[in-house]
Amino acid sequence: MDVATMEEAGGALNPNPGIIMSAGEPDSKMAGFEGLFLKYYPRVVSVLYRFLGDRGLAEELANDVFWRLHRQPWLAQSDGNVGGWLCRTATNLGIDHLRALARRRHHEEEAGRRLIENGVPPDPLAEVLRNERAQRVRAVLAKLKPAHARILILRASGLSYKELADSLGLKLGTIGTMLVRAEAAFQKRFRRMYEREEAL
Amino acid sequence: MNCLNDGILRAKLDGQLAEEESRAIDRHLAACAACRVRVETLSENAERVRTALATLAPGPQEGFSAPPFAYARFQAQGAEAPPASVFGRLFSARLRPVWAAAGLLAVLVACFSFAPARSWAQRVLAMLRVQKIAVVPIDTQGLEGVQAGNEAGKMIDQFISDNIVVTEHSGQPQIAAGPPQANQLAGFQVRLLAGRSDAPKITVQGEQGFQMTLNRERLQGILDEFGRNDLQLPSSVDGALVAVHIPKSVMAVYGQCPQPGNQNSQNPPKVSDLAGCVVLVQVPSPTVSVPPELNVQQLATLALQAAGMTAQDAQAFCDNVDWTSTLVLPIPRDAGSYETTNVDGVQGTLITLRGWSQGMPGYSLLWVKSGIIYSLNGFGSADQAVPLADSLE
Repeated sequence: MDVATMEEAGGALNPNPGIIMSAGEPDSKMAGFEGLFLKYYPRVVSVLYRFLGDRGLAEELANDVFWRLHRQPWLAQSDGNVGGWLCRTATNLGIDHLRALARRRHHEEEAGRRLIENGVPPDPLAEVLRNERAQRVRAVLAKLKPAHARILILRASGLSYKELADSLGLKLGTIGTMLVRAEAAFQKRFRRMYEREEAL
Repeated sequence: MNCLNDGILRAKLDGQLAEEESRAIDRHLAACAACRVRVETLSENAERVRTALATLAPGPQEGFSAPPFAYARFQAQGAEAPPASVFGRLFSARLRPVWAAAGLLAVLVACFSFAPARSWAQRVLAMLRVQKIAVVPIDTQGLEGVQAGNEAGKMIDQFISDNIVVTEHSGQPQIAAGPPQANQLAGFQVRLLAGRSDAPKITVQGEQGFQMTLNRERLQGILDEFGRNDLQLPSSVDGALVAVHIPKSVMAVYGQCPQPGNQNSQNPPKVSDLAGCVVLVQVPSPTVSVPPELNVQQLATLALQAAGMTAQDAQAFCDNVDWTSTLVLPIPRDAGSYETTNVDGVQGTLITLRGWSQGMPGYSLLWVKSGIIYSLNGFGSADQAVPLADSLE
């Protein structure tokens, strides 16, 4: 409390906490922090959006992710797994916020409000149904083990098995098994929570 | 070939196997009806989950900022973020291990002796509100082994990342055109330095809140990594929640001040410019909600021991502190000195740092008045701090 409070009071606390990559040259050879930002930002914000369903919040948290990266003393000596670190950090933040939102039960109301603010889509009914399902999927993710939620979101975000292994600190050969378990847990939880409303 | 496990089959479905391995599996599947059935089931399950998760993908209407634009905004946020204060320097990379340790100690202070976890809503919360500030010098030799990149540093980073949930985001700081707008944005009467003839740049930071869920096993693991397994956390801390709320804060920056995040800049500010840099921060007292059974004094005594104090010294310090109303700021003994002083009609604490930017000394004057915490930070001689603070109006 003391330290954090004084840091805030002194105004010195920059926001801190992101993801991945595959192709391209090693991160250690990229042209500094700006290069890392430009390379990873789209994926970081996309992963966070999947957790949160709110563009503004996703971009704000993505900034947090890069502030945290910016303050990492090991950044200059990175051996190339900055992407993995960003991924881990973004998913941790995403899960934390997803759970906090679920606790506050504002989620569905927020989704409805955003729908109104974003204007009427070409197919309003389809959009409403899609949003409703998305909220249910997020509610299920919030109830899963973080490791399961993490791998499902990252795979849905397009990460390869190799990238998943780098980001999650797992052996490449275990990714398939982890995915199968996570998918089974997701289906089981979804059915338990929403069997009456809709089939998965 | 024996039947294949689900993980291999799942990787096959995703096209994530090497070509040779993939062909071997094709040959097995051609000959094994049981595995073909399992592949079919796995495929259906994967497709159901994939379809469900696809609803989370951003739609075309979301239109995320292009990376170059996002980067420009990121830089702007850095430029508008609070200029480095004495505390900013205290939190510099050089002292980061110390503060990581101090942060942990603060967590420990907040978590010892919690009663067994009960529903948060059922608790009658004790509210701690900062009414005064006390400084305690700590020796950092015992913490030298703790570096941000090593195991203890990583454990602390991961603990913070996994266990702290931000419940209120402050968002971008808002720039106030003048005192009236600052008052309006902040929601309290903002005071400025009449002793300065130049106009400050005023920014207002939004309210912030976070909750911390305590995990005894991980906290104990960090303590063990510190080599302090003689301090044992009670099992009752597990799952306990601490909630912190920080009201809107106002920062007034006078003169040319260094920007945070640019500390390694190739063009650091000139010493002559820094001499005029003064940063005034004012924030209504943050509140911390904790279970009423929390024995903060006991925790603080242990935490200060973990920071290198003898048990006797820690006890003596803690006996004189009202933990429900005092913000205790630990500073490394070799970073500077401190003294109590009269300021703004109340008692304050003046911290002098020996040298923190290009060898230039700095100061930070802290006090609490009418429920507002004030922090006046600057470079050069600490002699100017109190007269400047007394010119507040």
